[in-house]
Amino acid sequence: MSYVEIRNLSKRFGDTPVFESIDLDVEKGSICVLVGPSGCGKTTLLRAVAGLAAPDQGTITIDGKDVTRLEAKQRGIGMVFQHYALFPNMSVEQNLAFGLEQMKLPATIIAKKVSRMVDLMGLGPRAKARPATLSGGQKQRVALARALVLEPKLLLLDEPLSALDAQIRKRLRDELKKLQHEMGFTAIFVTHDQEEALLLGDRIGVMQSGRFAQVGGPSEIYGHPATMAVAKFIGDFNILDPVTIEQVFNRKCCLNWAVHPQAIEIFRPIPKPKLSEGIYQADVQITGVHVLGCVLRYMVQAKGVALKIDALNRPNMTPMKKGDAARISLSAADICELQN
Amino acid sequence: MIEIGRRGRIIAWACAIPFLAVIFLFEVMPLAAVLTNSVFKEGVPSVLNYAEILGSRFYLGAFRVSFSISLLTALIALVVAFPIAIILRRMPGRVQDIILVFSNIGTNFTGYPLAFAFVILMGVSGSITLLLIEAGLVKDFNIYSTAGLVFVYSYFQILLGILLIFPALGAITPDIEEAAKLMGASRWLFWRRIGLPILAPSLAGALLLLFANAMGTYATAEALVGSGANLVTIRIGELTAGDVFSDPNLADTMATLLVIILIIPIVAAQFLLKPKDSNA
Repeated sequence: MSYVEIRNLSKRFGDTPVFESIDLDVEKGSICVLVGPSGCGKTTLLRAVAGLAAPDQGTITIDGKDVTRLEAKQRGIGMVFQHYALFPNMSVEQNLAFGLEQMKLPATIIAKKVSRMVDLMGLGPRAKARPATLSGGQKQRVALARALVLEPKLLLLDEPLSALDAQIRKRLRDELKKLQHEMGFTAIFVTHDQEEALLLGDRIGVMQSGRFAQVGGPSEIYGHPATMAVAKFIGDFNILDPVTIEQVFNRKCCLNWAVHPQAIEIFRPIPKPKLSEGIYQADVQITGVHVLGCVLRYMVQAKGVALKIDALNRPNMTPMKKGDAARISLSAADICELQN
Repeated sequence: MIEIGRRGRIIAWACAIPFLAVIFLFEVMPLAAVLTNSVFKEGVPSVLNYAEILGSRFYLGAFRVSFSISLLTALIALVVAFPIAIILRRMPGRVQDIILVFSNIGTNFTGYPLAFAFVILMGVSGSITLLLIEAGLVKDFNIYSTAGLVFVYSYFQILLGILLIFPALGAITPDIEEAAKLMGASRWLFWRRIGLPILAPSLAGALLLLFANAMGTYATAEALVGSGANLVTIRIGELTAGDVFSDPNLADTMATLLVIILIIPIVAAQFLLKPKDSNA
């Protein structure tokens, strides 16, 4: 039995289903990331787990206890909101102490817990400050500290990094991962950013139109997307339909292919290419070269089909240029066949 | 702040000239004239006007009645409008718009039309008064009294209160309420510890505006009870335009004292409600 079990959970707003027949397992001490485009139902699912939205059917079990019909405050859940939701009339310390006060803990214990969390989150110099005087990153750190200080059974994070700029977002993402390793809390993290999902998630649920399109580990989701929708959302795949496949690689098949840009090799054309079993090759024309840091992205046309190819940007190599003719090679093992 | 060049600054100031002219002509000049006239008695500089008002039970009574009615109706408006505004926040946008438009119209429906409407409805022979008497709920009801004034003032004060409080409630976002709820706070505790402290400056500001609005109301009171009501604005009106008791300098002195009464709570509120933010 998993630490968090969601079974057959459904929710409708009027006639519109928000999510339907959701099943999800989250193991203790892991982060489960719900990822998907806007409006796919991930935030409503999180709110249903929190007790802030009542599901129409199904059950939610946390640590062996059915919490489906329990009030939000009785579920032992901590939540971090996208826009922080800090209490603006209270200092950082008071924000952290608020939840502990509701637990009727002695003042000395509250002070000790707050002080420890303030130190752990590096908020010491800002402990007496009001939220209005904090930066976005500091506010989100306070929001996280406020949820964690209650030692919740389950931490829910609703797009907590999306309101921050790229650099702070990256730093906080790393800090969150480190903190989770140190403290071992169990969390469900909602995001629409696939990079964030792959980096943070021990398990990832890709949602599409109120259902899970695929649930799995980051390697599985990234390497073997189950459906066209997952492939389009996660990673930066070249998606090829059967007609295109035949046109480019002269292969007959009935399923779509998803191919990572880095799975395709590109090289200067050689007079007599050696063909072997399971290797598909095609001649291409380079239509663009983009330097993406450590990666060179080649935009190519293969018999009228546009493909993107990533190659390692080695310091002393001479990259091919726009307009050059080239040859690409693809191993059958690197092809993901999509169900739809 | 938007950075603008020297030319932009000159153009900005030039565009502001008509507005500044209006402020100067219709706010600064009249206020300066009122202040200056208040320290003249029969053409001679003197503080006798102040001495006369502060030594007169009649004029002090006018201030007391105006102050009481204004404070009472401001408090009534705040107490009634606050929950209405909270409920309104939870309503669909279209309903909000309709109620806000209605409140806006109602707030500006003052003076003679309002008094006339209340006379028809709740005067001695008003339809509602007669219905209430018929139903045995009241024996008589006199709208031409101080209690009647409180009743009529409350009408536009409550609607103004809704208009003032509604936007302030935007500071209480749903996720703040939900965060408190998840931490175990009841609705009552949320409002006591978080909601009301957040809104305190806005509520105090609304109270001051409602108080000032009532203190400055003239036409409604004049239309309803004429000179029978001992209000500051009625007395100023009499002293300015009255045939028998005309004394514009004394009217200016009362106006000056009225301004002082309004300035004191505004300044006090600025000090008391200044956010205690720490940059530590």
